[in-house]
Amino acid sequence: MRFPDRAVLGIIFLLAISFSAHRDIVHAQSVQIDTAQNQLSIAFAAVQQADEEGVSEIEVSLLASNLNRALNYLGNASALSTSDPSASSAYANQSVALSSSTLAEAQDLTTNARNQLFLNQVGAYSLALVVAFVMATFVVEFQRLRELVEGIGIHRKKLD
Amino acid sequence: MEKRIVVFVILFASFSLALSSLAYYLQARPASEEFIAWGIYSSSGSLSGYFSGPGANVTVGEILSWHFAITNNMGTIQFIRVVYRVANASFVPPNATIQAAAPEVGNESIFIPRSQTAFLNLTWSVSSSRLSAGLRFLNMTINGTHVSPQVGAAGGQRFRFFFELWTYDSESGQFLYGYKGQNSRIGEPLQVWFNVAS
Repeated sequence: MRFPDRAVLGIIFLLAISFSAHRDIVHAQSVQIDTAQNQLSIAFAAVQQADEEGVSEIEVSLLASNLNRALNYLGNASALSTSDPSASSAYANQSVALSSSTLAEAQDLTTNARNQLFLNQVGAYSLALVVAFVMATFVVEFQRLRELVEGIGIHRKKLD
Repeated sequence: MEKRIVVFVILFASFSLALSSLAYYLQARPASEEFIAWGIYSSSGSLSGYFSGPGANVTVGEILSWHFAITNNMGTIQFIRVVYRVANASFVPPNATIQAAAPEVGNESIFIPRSQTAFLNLTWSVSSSRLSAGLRFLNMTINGTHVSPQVGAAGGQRFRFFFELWTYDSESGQFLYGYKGQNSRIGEPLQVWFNVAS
């Protein structure tokens, strides 16, 4: 094999490696963006769940603000995926990290909200039963109470 | 004595039922009609005056800054996407149930907590236009992205934007047209006509 032939083969080999590497980078990029999208969807479902479970509007607004930031990072990652893969990768990672922390926070708030709701319900229904008991007793024993009060009055008069 | 106990039990049961119902009512979220309201506002912040000149004429290179105001009254946080399409007069517009078939030229998404209004900007211009088979086709810049919708209009007249509101459905894991109503999904499309001077 002559030298120019070897050079041509070498160049083709290098181009093939370069093309393959580029394809791997683009593929990795696409996987990272898909991961960020999935994580964002999961985080949103968790925040929606938290909202349905009665987490306060202020806390949900803060979680929504985090989700919007994660969405912006994801948008930047998608926009830069071909022109600047490393920046795109950094944005995708930031999006995943923020979505993950939002997911964890939403789950904690959901658990707290459920516990609080349970305690509120136990308190409210217990109070309802106590008040019902007092009212029923008052109605049934009204005559006796009246007699008792009158008896006390008579006793006081006698003492006077 | 027994009669008194029976009366007590009946009264206790009745009062318990009534007061438990009251406790449930006080703890339940008030029912309200669920909807998403939205509109497209001109640069002056009104629902009119979208174009600087008379009529709906846009000149090449003119930059128009509009914005959407979207109010979420669905009872929970929503993940909303606004889809932009460019069409001519012959396209069937989107309606309460079906999106338009016109080409999509962009979209923006946002998370909106319940009972809140969010704003999305729409800055667009016609960067150039070209004639083909007697129809004028547009090259546009929408929120910084260059697009060339495959839609032409005779004399550059009667183009229109379709704006569709989509919401993310966590169950299916995708955006669906409109928002979830009581029995079916409800689409609320908007449209703005415009002409492009040659």
